[in-house]
Amino acid sequence: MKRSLSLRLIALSTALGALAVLGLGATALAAHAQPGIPAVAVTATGTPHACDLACVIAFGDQRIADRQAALTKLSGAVHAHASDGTLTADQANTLQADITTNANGLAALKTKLDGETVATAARADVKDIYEQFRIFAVVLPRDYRQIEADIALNVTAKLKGLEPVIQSAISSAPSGIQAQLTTLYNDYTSQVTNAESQNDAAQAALPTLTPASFNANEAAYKTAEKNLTTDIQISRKDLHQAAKDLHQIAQLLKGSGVSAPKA
Amino acid sequence: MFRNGRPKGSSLLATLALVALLALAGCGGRVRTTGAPQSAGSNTNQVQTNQSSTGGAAASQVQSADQQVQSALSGLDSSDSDASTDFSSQDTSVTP
Repeated sequence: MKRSLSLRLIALSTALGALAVLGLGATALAAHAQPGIPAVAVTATGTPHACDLACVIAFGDQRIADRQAALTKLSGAVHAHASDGTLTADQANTLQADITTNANGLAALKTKLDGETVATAARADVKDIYEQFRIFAVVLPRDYRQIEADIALNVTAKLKGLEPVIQSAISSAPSGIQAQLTTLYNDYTSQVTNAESQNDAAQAALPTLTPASFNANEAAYKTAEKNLTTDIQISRKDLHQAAKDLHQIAQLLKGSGVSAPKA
Repeated sequence: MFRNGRPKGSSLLATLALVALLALAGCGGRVRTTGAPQSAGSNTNQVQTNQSSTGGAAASQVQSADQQVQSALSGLDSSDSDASTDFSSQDTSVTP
């Protein structure tokens, strides 16, 4: 009799356990069965919980804070390059204006998000963080490339401006090193010309990289971005080679004793 | 022929003035060519000195620019490093 009762209790417990497992599974399936409106979020500790309005707002605020921090860092980089003279004031101002526009836009979106009273509206705001601003996908990669392209432009202009000076120095150098100097100078001018061409292509491509063009055709955007990167890399390589030529020219002139007359 | 002797005096004055001018011109010439031999080649030497000075100044400019360009290239390399950062993982669209 006792044995029969124990067996019944075991069977009942098993049945209840099975029902509990099935119930949990059904809840999980129901959560996944509503695409676009996930009912659960995962906390930092990995524990799933229901994401209500406050949760969506907190999530969005964090995404906005990440972007604001990244924009601040970008602004610091622009400021540093303007301070050391590698960027002109105009170039730096243009970049800072773009950063400010994005930062202000994000701040306005945060105000809107924080004021939402319905979770679906808050989720739409969170979606805008990505689709309207594209800070990580478009703004940061593009603006950092803009800095590089502008510096390349400035270095190229400096090297181009040196061409008549180098020619003058070569014409007054001892005849024994003139052939070597001329070979270096010819390569120098060729590298500068190549860099100019790459810079033109890069400067033309940069304004086409926008959140709108990214949203319209991501594949085409990525191709344009890749081509831009290639143009700037080639320009950088050309400029390094021209600078190497210049350095050798300077060393040869120094070694030959050609120097400025004493006043 | 010469009334009151004035033309005779004028000639003397003119001659003295000419001598003085020639003497001054001679001094000026020496001052201008100090250190250089008084020969037909002195003008050529002057041109060569000017060219050498221009070339020397240009050489100095090249050497100075060399240092500036190396510094600017460091800025270019640093900006390339920043621009090569991959931000794409932070733009995965997630809605809670």
